[in-house]
Amino acid sequence: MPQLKLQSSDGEIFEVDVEIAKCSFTIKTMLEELGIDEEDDEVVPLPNVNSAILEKVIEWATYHKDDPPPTEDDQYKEKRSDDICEWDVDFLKVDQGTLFEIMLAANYLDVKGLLDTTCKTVANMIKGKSADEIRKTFNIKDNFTVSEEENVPKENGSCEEK
Amino acid sequence: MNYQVLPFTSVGQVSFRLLPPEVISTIFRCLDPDSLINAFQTCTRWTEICRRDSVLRMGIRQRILQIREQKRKVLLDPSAEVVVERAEPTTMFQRNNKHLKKVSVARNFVTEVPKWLPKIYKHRTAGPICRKRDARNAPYKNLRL
Repeated sequence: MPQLKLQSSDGEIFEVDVEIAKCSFTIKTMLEELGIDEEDDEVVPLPNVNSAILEKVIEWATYHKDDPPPTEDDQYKEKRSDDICEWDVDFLKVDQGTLFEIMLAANYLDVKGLLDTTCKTVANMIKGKSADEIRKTFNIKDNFTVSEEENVPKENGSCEEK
Repeated sequence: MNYQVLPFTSVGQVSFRLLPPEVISTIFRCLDPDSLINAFQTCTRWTEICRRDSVLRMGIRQRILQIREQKRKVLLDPSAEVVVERAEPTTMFQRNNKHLKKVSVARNFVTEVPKWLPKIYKHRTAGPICRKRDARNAPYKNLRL
């Protein structure tokens, strides 16, 4: 099986199967556009992804290489956030920073499945929390100005009581 | 080869701030309407993202309308229980308010006003549907949610 060399932002080189690398839509498109020769010893630079994260992404892609590719219909289906497979749950038991970096990498490399799974994980972290709790969890600054603060809850004030 | 290292590639520095809006939209699309409304109120950036995404905007709007409809139904439901102050029959003619008791009755409950009572007492004894009272304190008629 042909191998592809990926270089992370800090210069580390990973050798992966082309089939696995094709999980990433960005790499897939690149290979289709440019073609690939096995003799060529070229390296694909990935300047937005560091080695630790790239390793994670490759680990995920290796496990999920047999998954059916996402279809067009999937985009319009109603999203659920509780259908993450067990392996993914274990895989994403990382700190928040790493989780967000995986999301950024998945977004950059256009790995649909990984991006969906991480989004669902974060969605589960948001679920059932009040606005204040969400701010605390993700360390978000409450940057509403006074007039905005007055406007927003007025519109949704009734949301607190069900 | 030297690549430009972008700021977010350093471990531990990434937060929600650096996620692109389309990724945050994807996260929000996995949320149920109630959590989405909470997320909508978290910070200005999230509000902006929710407003710009048509799916999220529709979701939030529908949920708000749904809640309003529910509230209106409860408020205008004639058989809903409301707390009213009613005079006990035996102490009806007392001048102070001590004889008024808080009772919860259905809104369409109409107190029969005994015919022998002089007119002046009517508004004291009648329930919440009594015309005089209704005109004065029917907040739910002009209520805006």
